[in-house]
Amino acid sequence: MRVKCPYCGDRDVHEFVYRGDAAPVRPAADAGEAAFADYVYLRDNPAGPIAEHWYHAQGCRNWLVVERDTRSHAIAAVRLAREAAR
Amino acid sequence: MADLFLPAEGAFAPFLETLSPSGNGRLVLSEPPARGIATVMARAGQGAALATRMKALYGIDVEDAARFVTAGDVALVGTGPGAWLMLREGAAPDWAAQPAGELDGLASVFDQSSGYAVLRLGGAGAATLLSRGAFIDMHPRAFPVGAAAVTVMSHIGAILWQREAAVYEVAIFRSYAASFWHWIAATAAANGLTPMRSA
Repeated sequence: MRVKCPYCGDRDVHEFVYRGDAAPVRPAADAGEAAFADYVYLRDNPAGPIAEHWYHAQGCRNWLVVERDTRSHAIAAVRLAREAAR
Repeated sequence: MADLFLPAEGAFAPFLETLSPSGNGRLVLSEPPARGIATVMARAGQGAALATRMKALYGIDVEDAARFVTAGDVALVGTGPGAWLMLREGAAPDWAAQPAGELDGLASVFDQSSGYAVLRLGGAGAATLLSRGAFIDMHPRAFPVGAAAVTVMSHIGAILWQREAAVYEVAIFRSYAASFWHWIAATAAANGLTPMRSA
């Protein structure tokens, strides 16, 4: 499996560290325990496209947002997380 | 107190001494002349100002990309967005304080001169050898002169670039020099390459 890093180019998956779903957003500090439990533990398990955080540990050392299809592992897009967050 | 002077000793020197200075020239290994090495990381939002300042100071065209660019005795190797390895030929041991001051407010500069060992690989077999270690396309069409990459070779983090046609340099953390050399020797042998050192 190859991931096309926006900075480094096409790289083997072993250079990356996988983190998981990029969708959860940290709740406000006063959002309560239930909101934090959801944020920390609850994850969707979609059969299809998902945006995920990957870290290019053995490359440019940047966090990436990878749009991957869980059924085929086909990657539709890769962006730097710092740009995706804007 | 007497001044101490410790001559710079290349990390690969003891290994290079084991090679013959003559051979078929398909894989020629050497250590580049002593140079200063530092990381340069742009402060947030200061990329354009940093490029302008470095152009004025060093005459170098800064590229925010995985590229090797050089001007005079300064070279930059792109290692990530807004991050470079800066090389300076013949630099004094305390050289990094100067660019750190000159780029103050625009970039963070930290000396890495003693942290990295750099091996130069030349000859028609150099790209073949590197392609056995790095999981990237080393064909000159994909990795031309001026290309650079941060990757891993034989589980060892490596920064490599093509300096001029069929002349590559690889920077690894210095304490991995023996392990990296072991990989070079084994991989060269497995690919029918007999490394020689430059005379």
